[in-house]
Amino acid sequence: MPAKKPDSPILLALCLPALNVATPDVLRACINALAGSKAAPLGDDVQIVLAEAVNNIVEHAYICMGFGALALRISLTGQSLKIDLIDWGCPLPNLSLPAGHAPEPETLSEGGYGWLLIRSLVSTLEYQRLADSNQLSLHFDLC
Amino acid sequence: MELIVEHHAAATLIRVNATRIDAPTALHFKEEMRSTTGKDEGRFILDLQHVTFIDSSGLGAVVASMKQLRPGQTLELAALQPIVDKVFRLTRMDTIFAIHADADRAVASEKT
Repeated sequence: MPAKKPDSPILLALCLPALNVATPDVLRACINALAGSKAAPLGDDVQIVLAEAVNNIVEHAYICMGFGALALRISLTGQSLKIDLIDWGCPLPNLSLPAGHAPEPETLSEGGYGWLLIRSLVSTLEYQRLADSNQLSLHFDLC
Repeated sequence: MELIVEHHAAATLIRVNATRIDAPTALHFKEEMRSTTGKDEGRFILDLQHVTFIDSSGLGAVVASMKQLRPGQTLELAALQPIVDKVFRLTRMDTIFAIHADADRAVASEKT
């Protein structure tokens, strides 16, 4: 009797141009990939975080070269959902993740919310500069 | 990005006829809001019933829409869907805007 094929832990793997007009399509593909998996209830949080992470790549990492690509992989590992994002743009300043301090609401800041949203919704995140690429891993605890 | 404007006695209702206010559309939204709020006085209620997604760029555009108002004008929000509601709560911008559950009821119940 053939052994039962194990379920693939990879829900989605994509390589795409780093353009903000592509972000809605990425989020849609992501929601479709999560549907029916045990990570489906995380859909709203994943969309908020992924939009910010992708837009950071488009607006900051590639600001020095104007155009580039990003690779995305979404996988289930044990009790968490993991999103890996790789780009080949400029490194994060000081090679470290921004703190994500919230602007005070009464200052009516029009920006500065991206990393705050990411940090509020993920359980852990890691950043590495490796071989001229930025590698960001975002983990979400499964409910 | 289409904004549908309705004039009521209590306020001017601006219905966002789009499902997203995000990085690709934020600038256009902000410009449409500037043009819309430039024409009328008093109280504006932004109906977000159809907006299922907002990101930090979209949030910034909503904040900018309030900042570009003239004295005597106010901007309130209505019908925040789950992701929009979450983004406003996490950034605490829900403490800055008056937020109504439903735009039509907000217009009907609060005569000025």
